Amino acid sequence: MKEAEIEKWTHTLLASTNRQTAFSAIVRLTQEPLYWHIRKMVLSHEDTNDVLQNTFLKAWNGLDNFRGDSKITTWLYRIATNETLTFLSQQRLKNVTSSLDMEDVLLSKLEGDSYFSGDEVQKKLQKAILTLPEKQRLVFHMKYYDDMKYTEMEAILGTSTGALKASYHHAVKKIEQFLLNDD
Amino acid sequence: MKNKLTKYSLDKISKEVPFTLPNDYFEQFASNIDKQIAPKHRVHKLHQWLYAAAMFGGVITIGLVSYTLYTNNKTQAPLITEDYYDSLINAGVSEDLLVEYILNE
Repeated sequence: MKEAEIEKWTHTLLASTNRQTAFSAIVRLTQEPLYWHIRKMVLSHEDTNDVLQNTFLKAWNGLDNFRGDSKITTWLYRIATNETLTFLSQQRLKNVTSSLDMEDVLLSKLEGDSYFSGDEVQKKLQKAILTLPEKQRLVFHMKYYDDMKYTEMEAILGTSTGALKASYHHAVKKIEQFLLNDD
Repeated sequence: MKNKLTKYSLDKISKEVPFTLPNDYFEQFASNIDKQIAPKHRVHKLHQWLYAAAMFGGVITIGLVSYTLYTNNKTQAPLITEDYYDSLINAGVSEDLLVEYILNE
């Protein structure tokens, strides 16, 4: 993300002048990392598209709640995370009568998704990640794929750095164990 | 066991996200958001007012035209045609009575 550009548009947004143009610019600058943040959790492209759209529309409608105390990217990541977790819990409710676990449902979506480009090893890794609890999965993605700083993760997830480090460490152990046992 | 570890150690797996997405997705997505945050409500309300004003104008115009036609018909149409008047006189109806009837109507 282009930090300086995002900061410039955030000032415009907070000054309440030309909000629409500023928000539109922020959408263009932040949509990609937010898309991948969601996609890694919900896996399917179509579902990601819906959640990302809800994220930006919620942000637009709740713009008055953003006072600039945190970075706008942190605020958007928080909304995206909440929207993602809400989507997953709704999916879980929908599948409550199904004999399949939510993780199986996600995995079958992944297998049927024409936008999955990974090989067998990567599919196995996705399967391993799906064995983690949702919040630990978030932590794993943010650290493993995005190499995000723990302080940034703390601001987004509202969890202390110490707890995040422990969570990531355990996630890596669990995944490696899964990969060993699953072979 | 050692081979398995080497093969599936996280360090050995690509950190690239194994997903793709449609071409031009982000440009289309941003344009779609632009459309959704555009101030369409004001335009919509303005349209509603214009429709209401047009409807009101239409009703008033129809009312005025109907009223004009009605009053014109009332003043222009003879109450009793000339032939009918003559036939009544010939039949022995008093002219005073007929005039009085016409005036009262």
